[in-house]
Amino acid sequence: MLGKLIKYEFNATSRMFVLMYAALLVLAGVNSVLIAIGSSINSGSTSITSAPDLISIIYNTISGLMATVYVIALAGVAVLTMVIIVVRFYRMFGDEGYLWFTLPVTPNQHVLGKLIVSVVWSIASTLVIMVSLGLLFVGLGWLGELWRIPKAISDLIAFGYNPLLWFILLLVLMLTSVVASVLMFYTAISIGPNLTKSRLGGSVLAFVIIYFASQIIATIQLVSLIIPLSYIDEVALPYSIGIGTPIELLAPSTLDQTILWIFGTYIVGYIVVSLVYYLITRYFMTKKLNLA
Amino acid sequence: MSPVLKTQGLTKQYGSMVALNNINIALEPGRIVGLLGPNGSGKTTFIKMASGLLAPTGGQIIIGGMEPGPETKKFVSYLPDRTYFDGWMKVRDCVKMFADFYADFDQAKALDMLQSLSIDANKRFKTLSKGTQEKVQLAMVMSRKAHLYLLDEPIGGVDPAARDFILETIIRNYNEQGTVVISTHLIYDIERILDDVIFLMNGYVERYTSVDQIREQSGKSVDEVFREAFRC
Repeated sequence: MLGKLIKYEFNATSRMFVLMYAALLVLAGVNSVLIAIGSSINSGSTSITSAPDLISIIYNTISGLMATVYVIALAGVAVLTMVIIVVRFYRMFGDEGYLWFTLPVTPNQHVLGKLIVSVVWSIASTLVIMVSLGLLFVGLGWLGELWRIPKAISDLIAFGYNPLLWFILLLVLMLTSVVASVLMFYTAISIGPNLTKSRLGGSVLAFVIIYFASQIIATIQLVSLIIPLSYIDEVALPYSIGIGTPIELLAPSTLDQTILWIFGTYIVGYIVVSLVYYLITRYFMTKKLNLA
Repeated sequence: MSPVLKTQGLTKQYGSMVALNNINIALEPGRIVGLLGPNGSGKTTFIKMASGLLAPTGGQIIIGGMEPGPETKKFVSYLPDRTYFDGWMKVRDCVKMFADFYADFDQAKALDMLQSLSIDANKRFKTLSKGTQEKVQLAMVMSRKAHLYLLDEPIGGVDPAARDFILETIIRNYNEQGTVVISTHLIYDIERILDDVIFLMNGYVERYTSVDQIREQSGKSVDEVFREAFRC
């Protein structure tokens, strides 16, 4: 049943995402070409001392416009991804809920199905944004610079660092933070109808409350993160009392340890928070379900 | 035979408003039951609790030996009083979806029914008129071989000519061992297909009896008896 739910969720959302991704990539391609043309115009016009000619005026207008549209589209993909994820779940508690909640499906399957699809789209949007930036790099002629990355990585390894660990930690951190933020919206939407007469108003109110609560927890987490760090002798303590140097601080063993500690704390935090959100959402979807 | 649906002290409150108060009924298999009452008498609340869309405030509701949940939804076929398909879906997609999720769904029957209703399965749901959307949903719901059909105002939104067709559809297509609950306030139109009636009044069961009994005792039609019982 979970597989079927995921299939239908993808069917219902794919058109919007595919259209959005296509638009962003086309815009990135257009800008990339414009940048490439621009660099040849500029290099050609250095010898011309007169006022800007018509071609460069037209070029500047178009490229300025396209750059603006691209930036808007870039932000649009990020924002719309979240909006679609939120709206899909919100609509489950409206008329469409009469279909979803009468299917022989458990609340676990409902939440997991929506969550998995949301996370996949979030990852896809991130990748598409990166690819679109990559297209701009091509236009800027920076693609060659990318070959420095493997060299930098092998240098880090040669110095005794563990960049693979950093990379994996970063990926896990991003994944858990996406899961936590999607579930935060789900929690607010599932509580919403119980708070006020207006479902939308209730959901927004619930979101504001949960958001502030999560900020307080995040602050506590940050403080608890810094205190133990100061006890790791090799790291902050010698530096903070003035006997350490930045070079000691950045020594491979201590840096890996520090990164592991910071990322690990946040990853565990996101997992715990996600579990709490999940349980609250499931509770409100079973015991407090109240379709308008 | 054990009842298909049984309630004990079933109560639902919305804040201080009591929508259903201490309902104790048992629905027998193979009956077509009219759930009748004026607006706001609790018909929809009852049906929503039986389909697992609302949690009761008190008492319980037992369907096939279980409280409403994923297991009961396998054999309860519910038609809500609103349209629930996503607008981008083609009618054909709706059929596929029901076939995917309900083991008791008969796809051929559904397509057949759509054809007799002259509904084009390739049209998108949002392009259909409200009445046609309701017909599509009814065709989906009645193409299941369910134990319990819960139909909330199945004829409310369609023209009188289509009403007869829909009632025919219900009688012809329901599983003979199944029970059909039809909520409506259009009693005159559906009276002839009912076996039993439940009169709901302000959240109470005013009476639960067979149609034959009403006719024998009062010599009047259900519609007339209803009008007398609920006179303003």
